[in-house]
Amino acid sequence: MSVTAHAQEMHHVEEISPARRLYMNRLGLWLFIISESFLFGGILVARFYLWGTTRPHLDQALGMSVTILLLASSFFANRAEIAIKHDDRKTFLQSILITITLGLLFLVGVVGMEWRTAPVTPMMDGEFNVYGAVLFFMTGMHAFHVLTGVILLAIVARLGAKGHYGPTNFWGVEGAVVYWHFVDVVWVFFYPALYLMGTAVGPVH
Amino acid sequence: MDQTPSATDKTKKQFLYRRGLIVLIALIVLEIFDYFMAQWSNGSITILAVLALINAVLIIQYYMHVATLFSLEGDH
Repeated sequence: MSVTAHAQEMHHVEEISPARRLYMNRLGLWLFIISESFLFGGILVARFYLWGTTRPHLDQALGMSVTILLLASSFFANRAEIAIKHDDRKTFLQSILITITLGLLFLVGVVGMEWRTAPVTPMMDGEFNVYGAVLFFMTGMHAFHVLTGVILLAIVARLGAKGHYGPTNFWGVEGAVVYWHFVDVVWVFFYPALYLMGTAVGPVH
Repeated sequence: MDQTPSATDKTKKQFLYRRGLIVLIALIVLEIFDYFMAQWSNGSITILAVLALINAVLIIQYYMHVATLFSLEGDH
């Protein structure tokens, strides 16, 4: 690329309005979310192929509790986003910290409790245990995304505490929060697929 | 009604907070309904998939603000 062409391109970049830039940021994030949806969609297909119309006996109370925790975390994430867009920094910080706490509690519930107590073992009757494989893959992949979201939100909280965001500079908050909601949407499908759909078989919890 | 910009902003913020809370309540009620429907329908995949889809649409529409993708406005 010649120097003149490069200079013309740079000039063009500078001409992009903030609204247009925000639109492109949003479009990029949604394209990422769509690509992630294919990943989680593939995992769901694997669940139905391997489990069919059966499921293991999982702890129903724990499943419902972690689901409500994650839904509540989405509410506080949404509250944080609204707050920063309206220059309410105190509510923003409070809400983002509550979201992080609820996300961590979700991880404790799934990884710390469900993984420990789920009635599945790596081998069952000398054969590869599809119940364990699917359960750990689905919850593990999702938990990894929750952990990523918690880290993102912690970065946003730290930057927010330093006054980095405001009513005209909120993309960092919005991006992290939309990602967090996506993790919630994935669980809305994973929860019934793991805990509710089909007939419970195998050892009782 | 004549309102100052800050008063309008505060009203809008309160409206958005309230809407977020209503969506949360709807989501929790739907999840509990999910559980009882699973017991009633013996884990019907079709019924539970439809309920999961309704939950997802609520989150995508009201929390993820998918509509902002179709406008050049800065806010939702």
